[in-house]
Amino acid sequence: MQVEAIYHQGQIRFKRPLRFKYDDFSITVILPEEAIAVYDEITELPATVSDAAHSMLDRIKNILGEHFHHRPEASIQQDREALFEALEEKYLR
Amino acid sequence: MKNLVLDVNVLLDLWLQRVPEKVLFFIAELIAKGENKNYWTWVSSSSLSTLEYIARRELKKGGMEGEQAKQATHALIADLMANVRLLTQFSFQQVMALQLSNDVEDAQIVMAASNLQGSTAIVTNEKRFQTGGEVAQLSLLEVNTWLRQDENRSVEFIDLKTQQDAIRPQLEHNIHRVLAHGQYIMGAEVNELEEVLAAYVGVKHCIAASSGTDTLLIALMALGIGSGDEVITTPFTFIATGEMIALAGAKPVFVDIDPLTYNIDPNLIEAAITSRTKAIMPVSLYGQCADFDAINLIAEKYKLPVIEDGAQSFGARYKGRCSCGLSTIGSTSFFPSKPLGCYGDGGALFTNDDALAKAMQEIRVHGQDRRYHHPRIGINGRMDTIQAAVLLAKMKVFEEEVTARARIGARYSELLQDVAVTPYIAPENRSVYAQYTVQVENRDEVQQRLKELGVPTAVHYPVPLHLQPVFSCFGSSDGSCPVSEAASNKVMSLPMHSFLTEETLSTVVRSLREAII
Repeated sequence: MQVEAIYHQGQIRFKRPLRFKYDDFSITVILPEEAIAVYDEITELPATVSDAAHSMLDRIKNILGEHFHHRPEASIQQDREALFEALEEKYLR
Repeated sequence: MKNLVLDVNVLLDLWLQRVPEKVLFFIAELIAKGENKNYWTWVSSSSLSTLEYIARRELKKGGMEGEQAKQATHALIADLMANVRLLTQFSFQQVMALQLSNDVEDAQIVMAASNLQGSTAIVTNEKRFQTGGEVAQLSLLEVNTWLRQDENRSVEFIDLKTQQDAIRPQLEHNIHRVLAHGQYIMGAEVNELEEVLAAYVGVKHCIAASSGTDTLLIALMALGIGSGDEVITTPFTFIATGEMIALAGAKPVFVDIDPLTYNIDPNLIEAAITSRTKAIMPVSLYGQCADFDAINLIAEKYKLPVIEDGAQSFGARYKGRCSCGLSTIGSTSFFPSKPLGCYGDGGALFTNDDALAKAMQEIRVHGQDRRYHHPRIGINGRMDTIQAAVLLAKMKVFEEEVTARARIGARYSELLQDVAVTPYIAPENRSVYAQYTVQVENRDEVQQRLKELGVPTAVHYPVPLHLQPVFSCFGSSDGSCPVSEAASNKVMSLPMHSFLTEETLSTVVRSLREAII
């Protein structure tokens, strides 16, 4: 069935009351394209980045050396998996 | 001030360069310490181990050798901790965290964020937090807009909440240090505070005590003032000044004030001196020192000690010298709303006189000079160690706060000079603006109108001491201190604290104009 819902700060609320048989199940949501933000929209950065921010990035570069380079975006799920792998490595191996 | 709590994924984006360069700069901008920011950046301490595990894992995956990955991650965390504030995880909140969410770490972040007093938002790439509405959650794209929004907080007369967030890490450290060592009375922090305060004021001795009322009594007792004696003071002050003179057994002799500064008028003091006069006790009202050169000159002529009641003026300067270091004894209060306030009652005495310092130290502890040996009568006037711990945290930012108060006071006066009688600060003084007090006609109506507009006010003080029923036995009557009586009908204090923003100040000014016209 299709129901109308409102998204607000990370939560979707159905417009009419519904009861569910299960706690977890997957749903399909149709999102308006214009509501989806992309990083390119961070246009409000100050024209000049502060010296403090520059020096913070310089320090990170210095710490990582040749390993300071662009990597692909990661989802929360991917971060979780990396955490579980790290915990496994520490406690199970 | 607003609070941003950065989620793990945002920090990993920065450390692992998983976002475009301009976003890297944006995150660095949020973290890096800077002037003129209207927010503080926090990271939950519960996030640190997660950060460490994931960053190490990802760096190793990318080819970094194990030990190098470990050291690099530690360096990244150290750099982070040097820039952000760490949010505490309190043990008493952990059960609730477990009940609130399937993800304990997420719930821990929410619980820790909700401990902050100002508007708070978690900055995250995935809005998965169950915040219960107490704490907002934002994507990076929403941060600038959220920071620009008004906090929508009511105007506070004194904002101790923002100050608490400002010094929270140091406060928690200091308070927990006391909980750990358990010396709740006269612990090491009390001595440490006395040293810090004496150095700040520039005197030999500081004696921390239980309140700014008890300090007055201790000072009077140390000077041997009692039955049959008279102490000259101002009637335009809080009751404690006259009350402690009377409690010591002496008679408060009220001398009228200067109409500009509201402090005792030195020109009227000499006429009030009799053979029974044993001290002069000026009050440095509203944060501005009385005219101590003039007062000390008279005191010297008649060989009288001078006790400065500096309950409102700690941090003020008179001719470049600190309040509480201007006379025989200086006394101040650390009541929470004072420019330097603790989280309960507290006070301190200051002197360069070794004998007086010894006497005041003994009187503070039941007149005891060594354990269970009491050469004199004293009181239970010790400062709690936890209050000293709070004050030590506040002293680290006190001078900055005094500077902010002076700036805010000057700004108020600039904007209000055509609306009300604004404070006159003598050229030799730097006021600490314990109160920003104006004079208005029809004060009750103006106060009521301001209340309706959401601006709190207070009256310091509506009845001068010589007209208080309790002092009627000393013979003062209506008209005996006309300047104080006139001032008490018109004075009204406006919101004042070191975190008052230009926006709030403008609201107060606009409301006062509206209330008067």
